[in-house]
Amino acid sequence: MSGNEIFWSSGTWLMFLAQGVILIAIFGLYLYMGQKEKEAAGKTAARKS
Amino acid sequence: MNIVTFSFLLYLACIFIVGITTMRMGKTYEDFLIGGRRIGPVVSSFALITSYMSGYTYTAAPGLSYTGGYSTLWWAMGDAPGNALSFGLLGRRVRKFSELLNAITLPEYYEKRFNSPLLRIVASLVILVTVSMHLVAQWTASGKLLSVVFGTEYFTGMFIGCIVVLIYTIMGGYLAVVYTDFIQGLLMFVGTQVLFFVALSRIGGFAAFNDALGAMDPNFVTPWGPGNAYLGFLVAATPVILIIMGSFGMPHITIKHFSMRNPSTARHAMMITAVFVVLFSFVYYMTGGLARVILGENLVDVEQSGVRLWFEVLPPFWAGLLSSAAVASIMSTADSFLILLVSTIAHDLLSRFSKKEIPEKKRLFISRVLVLVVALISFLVAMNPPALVFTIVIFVFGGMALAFGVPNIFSVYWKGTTAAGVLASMVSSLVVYVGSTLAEVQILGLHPFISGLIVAVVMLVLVSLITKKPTDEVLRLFDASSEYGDIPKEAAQAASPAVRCEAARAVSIMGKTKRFGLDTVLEAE
Repeated sequence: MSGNEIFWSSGTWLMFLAQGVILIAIFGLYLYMGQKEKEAAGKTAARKS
Repeated sequence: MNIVTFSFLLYLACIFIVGITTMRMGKTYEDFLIGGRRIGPVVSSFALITSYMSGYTYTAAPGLSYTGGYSTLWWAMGDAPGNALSFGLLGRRVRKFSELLNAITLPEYYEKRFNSPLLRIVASLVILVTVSMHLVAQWTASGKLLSVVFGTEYFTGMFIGCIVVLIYTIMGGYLAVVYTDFIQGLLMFVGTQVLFFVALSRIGGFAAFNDALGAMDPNFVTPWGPGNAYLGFLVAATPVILIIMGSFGMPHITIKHFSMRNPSTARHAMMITAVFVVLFSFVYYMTGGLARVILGENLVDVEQSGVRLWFEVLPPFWAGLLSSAAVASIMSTADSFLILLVSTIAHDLLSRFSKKEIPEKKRLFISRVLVLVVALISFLVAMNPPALVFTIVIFVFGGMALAFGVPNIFSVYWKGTTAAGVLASMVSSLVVYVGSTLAEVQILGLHPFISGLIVAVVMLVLVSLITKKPTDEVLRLFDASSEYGDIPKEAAQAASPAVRCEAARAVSIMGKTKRFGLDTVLEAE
């Protein structure tokens, strides 16, 4: 079996995939935190008015 | 003058210009130590990444991959989540809490968060020991890299790196550090990507690289590595956990959270960091594997595989540029360490525990003299390095992760954390970690870091449960720091310039709260 075949069959490529998944998960957290910050800003504005 | 030297000197000129510019910007003690808390998300992100990556990036990481192939990517797996989440999960809250407590260093934050001067002393001492050791690794990496770049002796390479870092750190303090880190980060990123793709195309592409590496040893292209060194869930997960916890615990990383412009900066910095590190971390590890295929299997010092590779595959101008990137990686970490050491000695120990208040100008002067002294001592030790860069860095990384990572997380996520709990966690975990590492013993078959981590969490929780709870004021500040949204401007302005020597007039958290107008904040919350 060639080195490239071992790379794909042994699951080494999953390490690369995991990096992509991490990036997507962090983007999700980024959006969630943005939503929370928006809500907090809204509350502060309401208090001031 | 050859093209390599020319591009290196060009880089140095840029760095000095930044140093001189930021020297004019930095007027106060707070500017010198945390940049006056006005660093935006892009610069915060790059400053954190470059401080984190260190000389390890161009020496130890390729060296590891040279001997272990793809399996060493387990060490890279924790980079992106660790760095990014240190902003998102820890940085936002720490930034807010530290400002509410008016703390500008990690030991000061611990003292005020847990109302314990003893904790400040212990944290300062742990920082002094661990950071000084890490600094030794940086000078060692400098010697290894520059001796290849310029064909000089190891000592000369060390000397050049040390002198450059010292000059601009002393000139500009923290502002110089973060802005040069930004430039260095860009340089490191571009340089490493160019090296990777040029080397890969020389071999004939990704599949050809895998074939060539697999022909040397089929285990190089599996996740488990030669001798199945990473086979098993816990064995593979240990480097990932260690790296993530280290990102939460390293004091020179945490200070980047303190210096952010406001708590919401953390969210943007988190995303920038994630993208940058995902694109970067695997690439710099894999240069070792590429070096093995291109340079052969007989390198004497595997930690020089990366630097030898770029002189083999790149034209002289790019090789010179990448030399600058490598030096940048060392400098960007070493300068952060120097600032951290200075703040620890001058602010957390001398100022805090001296009987007389020291004028700001004098403190700034003492800080700059101390940069020189600390650098000199670490330089002398690095003349005969005690181990490989990898061994030193990972050992110190584990120590920092245990001593500060666990307390940092609990300090902003669990109200009930007490000073005694943190002290017990720090001391016991370090004893287990250092003891079992030096004795080469694995308790219950676990890696010393995992044993230390379990002890750290268990001790912190158990001791906190049975000791006196923090004061009501601290608990109110805890609630305020966990809320989303920024600190109201008027309160932030009141707190920011109030950095003073607190030795003889240490007052209660309640007293400080009133003085800095934080009651207003809490009412607003």
